[in-house]
Amino acid sequence: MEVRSAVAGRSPGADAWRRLRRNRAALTAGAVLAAIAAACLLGPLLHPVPPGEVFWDAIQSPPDIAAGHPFGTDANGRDILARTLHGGRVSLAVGLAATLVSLVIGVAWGSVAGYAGGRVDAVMMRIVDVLYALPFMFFVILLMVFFGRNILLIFVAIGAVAWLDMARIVRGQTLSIKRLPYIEAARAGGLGSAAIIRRHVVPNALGPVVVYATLTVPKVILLESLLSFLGLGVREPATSWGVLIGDGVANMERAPWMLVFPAGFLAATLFCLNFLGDGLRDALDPRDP
Amino acid sequence: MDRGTAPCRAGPLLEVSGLNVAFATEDGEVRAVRDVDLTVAAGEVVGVVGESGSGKTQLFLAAMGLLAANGRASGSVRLGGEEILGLPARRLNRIRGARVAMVFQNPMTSLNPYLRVSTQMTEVLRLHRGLSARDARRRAAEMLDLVRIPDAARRLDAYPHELSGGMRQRVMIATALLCRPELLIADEPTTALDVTVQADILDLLAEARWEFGTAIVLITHDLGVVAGLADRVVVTYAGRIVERGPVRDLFHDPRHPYTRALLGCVPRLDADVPDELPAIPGQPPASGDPARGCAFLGRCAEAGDRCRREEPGLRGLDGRDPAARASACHRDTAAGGGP
Amino acid sequence: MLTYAVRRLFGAVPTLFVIVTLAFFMMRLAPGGPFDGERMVPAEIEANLLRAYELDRPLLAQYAAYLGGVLTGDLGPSFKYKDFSVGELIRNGLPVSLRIGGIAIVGAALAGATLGSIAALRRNTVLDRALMTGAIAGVAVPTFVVAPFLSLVFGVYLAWLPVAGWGDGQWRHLVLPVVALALPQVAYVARLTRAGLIEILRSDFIRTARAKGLPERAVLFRHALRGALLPVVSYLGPATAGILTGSVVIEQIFGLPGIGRHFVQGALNRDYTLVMGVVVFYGALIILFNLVVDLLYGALDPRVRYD
Repeated sequence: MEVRSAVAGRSPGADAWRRLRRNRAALTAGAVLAAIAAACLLGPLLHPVPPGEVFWDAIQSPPDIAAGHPFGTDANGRDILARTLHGGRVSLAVGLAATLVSLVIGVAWGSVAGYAGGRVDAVMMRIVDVLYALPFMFFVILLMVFFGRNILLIFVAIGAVAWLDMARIVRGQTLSIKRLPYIEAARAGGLGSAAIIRRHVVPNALGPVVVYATLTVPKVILLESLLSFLGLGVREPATSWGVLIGDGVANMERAPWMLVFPAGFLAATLFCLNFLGDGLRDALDPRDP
Repeated sequence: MDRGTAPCRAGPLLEVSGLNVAFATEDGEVRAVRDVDLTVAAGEVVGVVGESGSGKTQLFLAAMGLLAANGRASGSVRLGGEEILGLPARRLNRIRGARVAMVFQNPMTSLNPYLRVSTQMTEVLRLHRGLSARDARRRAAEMLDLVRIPDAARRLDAYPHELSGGMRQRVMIATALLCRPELLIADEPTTALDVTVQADILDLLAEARWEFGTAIVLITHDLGVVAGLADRVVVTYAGRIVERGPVRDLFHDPRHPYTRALLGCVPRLDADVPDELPAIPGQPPASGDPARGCAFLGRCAEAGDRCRREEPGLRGLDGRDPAARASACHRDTAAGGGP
Repeated sequence: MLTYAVRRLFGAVPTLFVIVTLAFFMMRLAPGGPFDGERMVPAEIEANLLRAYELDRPLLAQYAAYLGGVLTGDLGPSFKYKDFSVGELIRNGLPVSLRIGGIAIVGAALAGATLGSIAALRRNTVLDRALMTGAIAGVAVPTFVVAPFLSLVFGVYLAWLPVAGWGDGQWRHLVLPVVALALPQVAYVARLTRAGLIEILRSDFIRTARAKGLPERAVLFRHALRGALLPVVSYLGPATAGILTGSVVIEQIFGLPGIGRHFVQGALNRDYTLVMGVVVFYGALIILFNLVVDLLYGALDPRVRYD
């Protein structure tokens, strides 16, 4: 109902970029995220303390920069800053890897379903609907219980339950793109279906896919942290934020620093990822001034 | 069924003076309505003709206080002598639906899909006339009968999606007439409907005018719609009025190039069918505000030098009162213009 | 309306079927039996145990038996709590989980809808931005981070509420768990409501309502709210799933004797039947709730009933 002026055309990509740049909050979130990721990656360089090393003279001691433990130590005397950064590497790695898995499955499933249409589409999306009703966490836990807790399985398992949204989005995009004239032209030119999907459909569905991928990463990190928190995730000697938070909760009253730092990192990362994803979504699909 | 009681007034029912409507958008200010003067007398039908973007709808939305959030109106709008532009919502609400009613273009989306027709009709009567639920329902059913909806009592309990487009528009008109308003603003009431249904709706409006004495503003882009029903016509272009006059004058002697072009576009029953449907080349100006000169410049077959430099004002034709018969064109010598 | 309900019911059956089947086959295909890793068991005793738990029958027969059991509510014996069946354990934990989860979801829906509506009506003001930023935080920050913090602040430092425990279900023990559990849902519902309301308020029929001279209050409550809340009603299904998921964590952190805690213990103990039984139970619960929500949606949106 609002009146928009008719202006000379601007490419939607440029429009989106401009809107994103104006979104200060989203950009700040992106910067914070980059800082956290950098810190975790460069951890060993910035703070060369092995996460597993025990400092016998500083068991469960509060944060003390002078003594070389800016975040304090845990009940076993291990430096929390080092463990937090190491845990961050694991959590972020699982996040990215699982998102990648869900991306591959989701994009493949969605684009095939959307492009094929008809019966095939109906069946494929019915499967998605059925699976959608199931609570992911429980099935991942089942997998962990039955098949052991190695890290490869964790991110395959998580990725395998997180692809549903992506499939829906990609299918929707494919359906709209399918009708565009140049797809007809490609088909008339003799291009096979697989090639059309790969070369034309997928690149054009990219926008929403990027948005949802950005929003999937925090969901996946959350799931992994949850598993680890309950004791069903990564196992020693590896650690992740979830494990650290679990330890922190157990020692919450006596050593709150064990909880505060890893929890803060996790919360900040998830917050920024969601914020950034929201910003991307608003930039690409402006509905709301 | 009581007859209309539109009081005989000395002055016009609706008087719009110097109305400007502007919208604040990402790309700057868009002026949708520029300096418009308009009157509607009690019981008369005024056709407001123009293409999309001409400001014809925004003009009346502003009068009703229904502009979008980024819109600003300035000027004066008087109803029965009272200034209503800029009134606070509380006072405006006593007028809207009771003394002035509006029917919108798209009956598909203008009715609330989640509520029954009865709710959407009776609420008007209960609000403005203080009727009980039962009385309101009875009156609503009577009105549905009046607008020729078959099986009115049952239809009353229907949901909008159970009705056809034509029926929905009738419901909207019925709802608008419930309080016997003095003025009914019909915004493109037939545009979204089949041609066969259009005639029925127009007949309905004509009946409303005779039954209740309601003045009607008929906003449309279709000249054919206006011909049968309107007493006077106002032609809008790029946010301004470019010609106005009694309907016969306009059709027999159109003076503004735009009006002439519009009439030229309508295929005639009594002429040979042309090879190509005539159309007006070009587009109306984007922001509703031309940089300089006449807004119709790029599309006018008769443009001259002065048209490029100066925007023509609305001038009385043939020595008549500009409020009755006027055109805004430099080329019309009878309007005091010149080459 | 009846056909609509029946059709929805039929749609739910395959989903339940899939859950049970998936759970069953995952369990049976898992490497290592339930008795591995314990003290070495002599072959004869192991054979007896296998027979007692019916693990020596062919796979499909076990599957059929399990299906039959599910239909009659028998989810098998717990592998670890020797004297209890899975059904009994679930029944034990049900009152606790039900109370907390029930209050959480109702509270979340009401609070979220209210906050979201306020944000929509005060769009783009400081209040709106603050609420929506809070909402993102509520969605993003995990329950197992929020819950310990709440416990720390209100239980340890301020000592207003008990740190943990069920204590016979007095309201003081319910506050923190319910709040922690409901928070992400409040946040999500608030965002949904805000978006829905803003969208609806742009509709043509809202303009019609205003043109009729209706006071803004009537426009909002009679015309706008119903359509705006439809997405929230739709969301109640996934919201329940979220509450169930969250309850597992909450019961662990606050030490509440609910089903979620049994689940975690079962997972850590590799108690296959218990873990599966809970998954099947929760799955059935979610499906049932989704069905109710679908019917509710049909009651609110008349267009849906007739397709």
